[in-house]
Amino acid sequence: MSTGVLEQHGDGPGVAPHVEAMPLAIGGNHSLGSVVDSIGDIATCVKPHPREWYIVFAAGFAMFGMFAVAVTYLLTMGTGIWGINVPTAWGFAIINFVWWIGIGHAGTLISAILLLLHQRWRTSINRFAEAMTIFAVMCAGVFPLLHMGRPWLAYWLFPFPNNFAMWPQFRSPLAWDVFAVSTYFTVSVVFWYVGLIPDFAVLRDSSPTKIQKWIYGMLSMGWRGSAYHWRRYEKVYLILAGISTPLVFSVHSIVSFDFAVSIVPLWHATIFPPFFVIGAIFSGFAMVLVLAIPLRKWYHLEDFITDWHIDCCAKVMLATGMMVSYGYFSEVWMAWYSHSEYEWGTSKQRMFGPYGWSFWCLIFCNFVVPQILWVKKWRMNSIVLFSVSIVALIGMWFERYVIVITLTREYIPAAWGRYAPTIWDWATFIGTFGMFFTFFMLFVRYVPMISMTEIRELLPKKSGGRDGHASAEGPP
Amino acid sequence: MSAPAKGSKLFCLLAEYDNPEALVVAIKRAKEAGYTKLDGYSPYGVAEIADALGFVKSEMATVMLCGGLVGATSAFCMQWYLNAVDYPLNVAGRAVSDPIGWLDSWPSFIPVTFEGGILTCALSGLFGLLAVCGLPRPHHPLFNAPKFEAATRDKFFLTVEANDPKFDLNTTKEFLLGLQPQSVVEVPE
Amino acid sequence: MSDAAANHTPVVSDTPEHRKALLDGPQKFALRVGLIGLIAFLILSGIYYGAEANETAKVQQPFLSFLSGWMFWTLVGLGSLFFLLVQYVTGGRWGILLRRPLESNCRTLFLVSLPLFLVVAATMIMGEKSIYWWARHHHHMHHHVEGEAKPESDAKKEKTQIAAAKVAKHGDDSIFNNISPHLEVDEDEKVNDLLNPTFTVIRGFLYFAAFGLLIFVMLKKAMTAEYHDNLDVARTARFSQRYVGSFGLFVFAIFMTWIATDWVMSLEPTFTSSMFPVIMFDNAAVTAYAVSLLTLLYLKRKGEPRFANLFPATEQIHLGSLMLAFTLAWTYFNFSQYMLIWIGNLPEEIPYYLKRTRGGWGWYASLAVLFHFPIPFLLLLFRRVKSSPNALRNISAMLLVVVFFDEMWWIQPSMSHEHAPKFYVLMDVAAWVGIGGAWMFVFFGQLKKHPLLPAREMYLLEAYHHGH
Repeated sequence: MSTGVLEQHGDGPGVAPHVEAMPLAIGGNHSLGSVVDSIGDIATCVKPHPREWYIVFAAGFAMFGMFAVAVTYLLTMGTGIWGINVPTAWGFAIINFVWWIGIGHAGTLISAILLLLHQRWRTSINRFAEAMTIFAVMCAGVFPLLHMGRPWLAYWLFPFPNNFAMWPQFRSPLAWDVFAVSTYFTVSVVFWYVGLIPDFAVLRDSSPTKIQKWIYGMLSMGWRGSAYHWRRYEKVYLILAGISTPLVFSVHSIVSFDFAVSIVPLWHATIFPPFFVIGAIFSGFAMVLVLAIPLRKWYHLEDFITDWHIDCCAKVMLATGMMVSYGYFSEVWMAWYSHSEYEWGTSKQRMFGPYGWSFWCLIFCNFVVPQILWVKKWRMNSIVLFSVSIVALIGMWFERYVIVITLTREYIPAAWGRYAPTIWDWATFIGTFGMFFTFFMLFVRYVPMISMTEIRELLPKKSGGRDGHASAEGPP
Repeated sequence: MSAPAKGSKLFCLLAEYDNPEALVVAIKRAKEAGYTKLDGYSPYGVAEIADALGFVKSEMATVMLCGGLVGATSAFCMQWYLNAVDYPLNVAGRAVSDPIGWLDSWPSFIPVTFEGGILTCALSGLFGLLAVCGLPRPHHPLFNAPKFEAATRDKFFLTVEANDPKFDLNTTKEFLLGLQPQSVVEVPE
Repeated sequence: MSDAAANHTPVVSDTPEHRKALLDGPQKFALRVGLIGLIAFLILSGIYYGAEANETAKVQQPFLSFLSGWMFWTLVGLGSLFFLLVQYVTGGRWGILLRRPLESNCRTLFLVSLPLFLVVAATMIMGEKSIYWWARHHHHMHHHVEGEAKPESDAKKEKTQIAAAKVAKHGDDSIFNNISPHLEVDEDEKVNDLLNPTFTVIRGFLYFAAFGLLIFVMLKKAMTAEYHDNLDVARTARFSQRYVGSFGLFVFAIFMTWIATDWVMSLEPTFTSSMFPVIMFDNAAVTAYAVSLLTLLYLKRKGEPRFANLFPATEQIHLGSLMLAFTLAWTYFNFSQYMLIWIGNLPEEIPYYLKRTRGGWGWYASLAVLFHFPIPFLLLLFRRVKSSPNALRNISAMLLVVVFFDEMWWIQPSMSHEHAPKFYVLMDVAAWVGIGGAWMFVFFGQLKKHPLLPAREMYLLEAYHHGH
């Protein structure tokens, strides 16, 4: 179970019965107080923020502005300004929706599954990965809303008594999607917030100014660290992790049902649910690395986000990349095995048709390039790893592009078509990056981006910690 | 405010420790001495403190389980009522002739049922936690003790509340001083 | 910690005599059970041959039952190979205890599964009496006499059956009956390209050869890593295992897919589901895991002191949770496949589930789901259950049985049993028990050959348990 820990021992066949040094979950020589100073002081702005913060925030905010322009124009003109058409009725909107929500999944996964698996390397990265989830789901949610054409009527998606006497159609995956995404967003926020309560209490007590004390005091709900509260708190947190794990699977499975429930060739594939989930984890870990590598450098957090954390993320990326590649193999193999003229015909169109380049692009990004990560030296090289992660993000975007573009070549040639995004498609898509980075940078500035509570638990006993043993209840 | 103003009511006595092990020992001794209104405070959850206080198992699992079951059941019944009873919908020839026959299409009602269960489970976890712990409570008497700020940083505290039947300001203070704390302060109400 | 590890001398009690004393009993028992099972299978097959009126079915049924039993144990071997590869790649405490049972299962794959594959290969080349539609189809394509009416293909027969079922359900005036489902599958080409007897038999042996090479290389490296006197050589071997193992996992995934399509999925003429190999893999993993866990629990119960120390309740909880995860995965994969095929309702796919949910098979399926998901889920959720050796043993054994019935459900309904003598189910069970006895006999024999724990890596476990 603690594969990460044993990974380090696995290098040698245990020459003599001795215990090698544990991998570094926390570097430096920290005490309970110094953890608060290192992490909390960033959020309370006692430490100055690096120049890069202002650059990224300004760039993000500018793109956010572009998003506002694109959306305003869209609301004025209607969805006709996008490249969508029949047969490709969803176009960029669904590509970006699936891409963003997939990215979000790694955050929940790091928090939830790794907590259940007792993986200590989760602790330093879970907080900002969860923030990444929340902002990514927000970016994702924008697309179906805008694609509706009349987003102000979005509440029609929910079952509420109305004078049309109409209800949602619950046999449709699109209705499932509404519940899945809104549940996912809510539960992610709850999970994040529950994790933050003790940290807000820390900030309340360590903030220099009165107004900060007041705000963090309110956010902490008056948390005071009573042993009774801790016991309940740890139980709630553990159960939240327990339910978030199947939640992640269900959400991306339901997203995959949007495609697979149809009978479009290559969309109606039974492997879609796990295939989508694995792809989501792959792109999500890529995004975690894209965020973690610069953050730890700019904020000098190498003591908390150690090389070990980065290495673990890279390995997960490699493993999930291989699993996604299996999905590509399986799709092609099953299409050929079936000897169904539409399945195999559409596969040939996908690989060698007018959009064939995008298929090979995806194979290159998601299968070929990640092979670099087999080599430890390259995993340890920030620039290489950062680039591979960017390539993986592009590759996973192409995966959804390839799936959506299948609509241009399905059953009857008379219904075939072409699809090209317009400048407004791009403006909206790039605009969501602005939204993401604006929110993320604000998070980095005002909220502790690493959980101080859990880091202190991880400290060795002699420094006042618990060697990483959480206070979960013993066997019932 | 380390000493309470004359005449004001006392909330508790607060003993300070700098590591969890010492706190656990102190709690055990206080328990043995017959005190019941005890509490331990720590910057992160320490299982042994709650164990020493005799609070071995929390009620939150039950709360969340009930919340989840209620949510899942209501989500399923909602779909059934809306699509089979109130406004029967026939989609792709999947029978809806009667509310029971509608159940033939159970696979399409699993996703929303599942999400409903998860949603209410999580919400009952958050609100249940706050309710059971009596939070939010931003102005607790303990915050009157200036030293208590360190409870979220690097100190561990033991409190004996004034409404403990065995509580007597002088003897209890004497007793607490005997448990090798770093300090003992009186916390006003 | 190093003191504790040094004081502990794991090798002392692990002599061949000691292992013989421990494992001879169950080995003999397995042999006895296996012989009884095989004899019962042969007798039942004989009775069936006499009782079944249909000339084709009386030959097919014994082979189909044999395939159910054989496939189950082959999947135990393949699942073990998977866990072993993952163990070699990631390392990890969880696999140290499991390693010997897994390795023995991998060897048994060759000693038992490969020879018995000859029986399956035989039915592949049996032409019109084969259990595989493509073998029959191939036979008809090549032995078709001019002037005679071309026999109806299986897919067409199926279509007629569906239409008949619809008439029965909706009445004759149903609008659906006038629409004949258009099947998009070219069966002749499918048989020519891939599913012809010669090529399929050769592929079967190729799969065994590929897995054989992989297991041979991996186990050889493992032996070097564990026993070589030169520690540098040992270390290099251990390190290279990681790369060979990673490559092996990729090969495993692809070959597993081919095995699923060749041996099981191709029992149905047009059924194609990319989830099917994943479900098959999950069953393989569960059974391999259950067999290994049962072995560990047996050793623990026998009072093997090292197992009592190294396999305490906490460790059992970890391994039990892994079992829970696989059960949940099974449910997730199966629900997804079922829901998508049900909701898509395509004429190529839906017969697979129609055959398997109508008549007695519907009850059978519901029961299998009950014992495969809700019951083990509710049991394994509790730490108290997972930490009890007896409860864990019973759940593992239950899952072995349930998975067999699940796999039988893939295979048996490919043939219509409407007019068949119903005791064919007993033939399946007899084949399963018979092959299982042979399997476990060889398995225990292999287990005896090596120390029961990898001595050089034991310090990991000891340090862990000492640390707690």
